[in-house]
Amino acid sequence: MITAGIDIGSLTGKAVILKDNEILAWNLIPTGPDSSETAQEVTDMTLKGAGLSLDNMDYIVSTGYGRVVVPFSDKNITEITCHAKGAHWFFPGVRMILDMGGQDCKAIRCNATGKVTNFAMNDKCAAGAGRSMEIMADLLETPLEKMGELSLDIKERLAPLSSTCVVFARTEVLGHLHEGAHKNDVLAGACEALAERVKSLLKRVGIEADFVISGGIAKNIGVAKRIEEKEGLKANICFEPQIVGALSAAVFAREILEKKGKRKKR
Amino acid sequence: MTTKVTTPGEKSLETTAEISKAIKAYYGGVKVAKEEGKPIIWSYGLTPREIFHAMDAHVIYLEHLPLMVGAKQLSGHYIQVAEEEGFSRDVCAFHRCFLGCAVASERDPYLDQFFVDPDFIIATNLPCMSESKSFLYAADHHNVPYYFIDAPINTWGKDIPDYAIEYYAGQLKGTLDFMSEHGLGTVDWDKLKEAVSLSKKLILLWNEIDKCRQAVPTPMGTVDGLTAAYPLIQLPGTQLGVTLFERLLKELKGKVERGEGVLDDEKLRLLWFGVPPFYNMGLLNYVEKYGAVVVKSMIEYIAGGAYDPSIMDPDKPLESLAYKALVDIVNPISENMVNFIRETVKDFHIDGVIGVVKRSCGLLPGYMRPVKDAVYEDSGVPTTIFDLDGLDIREYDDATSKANLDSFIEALLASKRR
Ligand code: SF4
Repeated sequence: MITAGIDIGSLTGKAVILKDNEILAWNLIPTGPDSSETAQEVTDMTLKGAGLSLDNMDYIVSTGYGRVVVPFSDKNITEITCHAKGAHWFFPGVRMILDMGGQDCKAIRCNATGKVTNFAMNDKCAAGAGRSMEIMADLLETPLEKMGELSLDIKERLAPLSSTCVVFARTEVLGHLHEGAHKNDVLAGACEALAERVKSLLKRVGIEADFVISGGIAKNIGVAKRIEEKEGLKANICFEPQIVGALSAAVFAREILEKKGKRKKR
Repeated sequence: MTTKVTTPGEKSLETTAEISKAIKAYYGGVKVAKEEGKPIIWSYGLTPREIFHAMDAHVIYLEHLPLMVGAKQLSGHYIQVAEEEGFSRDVCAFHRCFLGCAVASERDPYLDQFFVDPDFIIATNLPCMSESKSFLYAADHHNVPYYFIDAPINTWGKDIPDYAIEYYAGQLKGTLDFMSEHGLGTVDWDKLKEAVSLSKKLILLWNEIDKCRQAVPTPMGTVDGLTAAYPLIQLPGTQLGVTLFERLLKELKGKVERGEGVLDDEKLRLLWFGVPPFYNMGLLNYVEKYGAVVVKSMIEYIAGGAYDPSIMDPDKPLESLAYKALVDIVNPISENMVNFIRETVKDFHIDGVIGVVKRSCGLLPGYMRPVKDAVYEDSGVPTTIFDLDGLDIREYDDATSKANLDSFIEALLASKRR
């Protein structure tokens, strides 16, 4: 049984192909202006990697903000449901998931089977999400992937950025730089502020020790470590935290097919 | 091409269409009265409407203007007008909106149909104190007399002590005197007693209407309910209110007998807690694609949906009205609000509660957490809470609101299947 999961987020498009319960191929690309084209592109790349075509797919599930515009998906499922399922697939004991995506951040509680029991999303401001980190990295002329690491090597502890608005936070950063603050210290302030906001979100759903971080910011060790320290927890992070949603969509596709017992004709 | 994300709510009942017409007719009547030189009152909050009807006073209810212009997607414009006047974004969006309507140098044709300048203003601290300040500004702006009705904060629950009733009844007596001083004649006590008696009838009918709505499938969701609650809010003490409710009850009874619901295949029943998006009531219909109906909303109970009619005694009109105002769900101690929602969840067979936080409100967001905990503890019913300003369209984020609703409903459906 071969299934695919497509996750079209605000910043990246991801695809995962599963054969039974094993990942055959996956890919992620930046989301372009046309979400359905992104879906097509990331799927084509992934299919190519697996040496398959769309015709070989028995069932396809899409997720993410762009889930409804994936032209070849058989069903769409929200990213909250998906992240719980995907995190559970990687780490079966998980009870709390923190998904830190491009434009938003979600804290999710799930039960022993990976079903959502409670969730909370950050409000509409991008300050709690990946986009804010991109803006900071850009401003501080630091490669995004290096940001976390550098933020742990600080000279002096600055107060966390206080502005919840990304635009104001930018002004705050410029102020620190003009005062001669070291770049790493400012980065630390940005990571600290994000970790603090995320902590309140986790508290809203109720902290659980078995905890997974998914989404792009999971790769930022500066944020992840600070969240861990704040709550005295150890976060589980899979080999590619950005594909958790797509993987889970593929798992859902398999489960749906198992129930239906019939593959989808394309 | 731009995509329009806001849509009006789709109502399904004939009587709610009639009620919409009654609202327009009411304000049309106020406009005519002004043209005839009769004094016009601006009032708000939980000022007992019965005293106005008993004195044939013509009143514009200022909390209603934001809802009306909101439904036409014009609230953002008037909110902006108030901000340009210097009001902070932290002032309640209801107040910014009516202040914008009040101070605007030009009004759009829709608002112009029913907007009239006041001759005096009667304010109160129910449901909240900030309103009295906004009213003071309006009184200054229009250079008209201002009267304030002070309502004690209910810390007693349902058993209001006599001294509080007497105090508030005294405040109402003062209001009647103030109205007389401003050209409305003296109060006709028989008429006031009659108004209390009609008010009692109205709530008894509303309770029966609620019973019908508890049927599965429900014959009336809150998209109709919010319009249907209009007589409860603005026509208590009138025969028109009673007649409209009698018709509504008849329509609903027929639907229940025939097993007709808002949806043929009702899978989920939801309760809305907080101010719904009046500029986008279509969001409440949005959930219907999942087989979900927003059966009831908390604000349908404001201004009179939650009192015990047996306590209303037409022979003690001011005391009865005092009791009615003081036990209103937005006045009582948190415990009363929580218990009220608990009961609503049970009576209406609610599967999930949607709680929306209007950041510029100093009152309702405080209830969210206790309501969420109590409802879950009591019935195992979950609540989702997210930010949504029911009036300020500039604060509205369609994608996030729908993402919250989609995920919540998906989780509810999954747990029903379990
Ligand atoms: S929305 Fe809140 S702040 Fe505004 S009038 Fe109502 S209770 Fe007061």
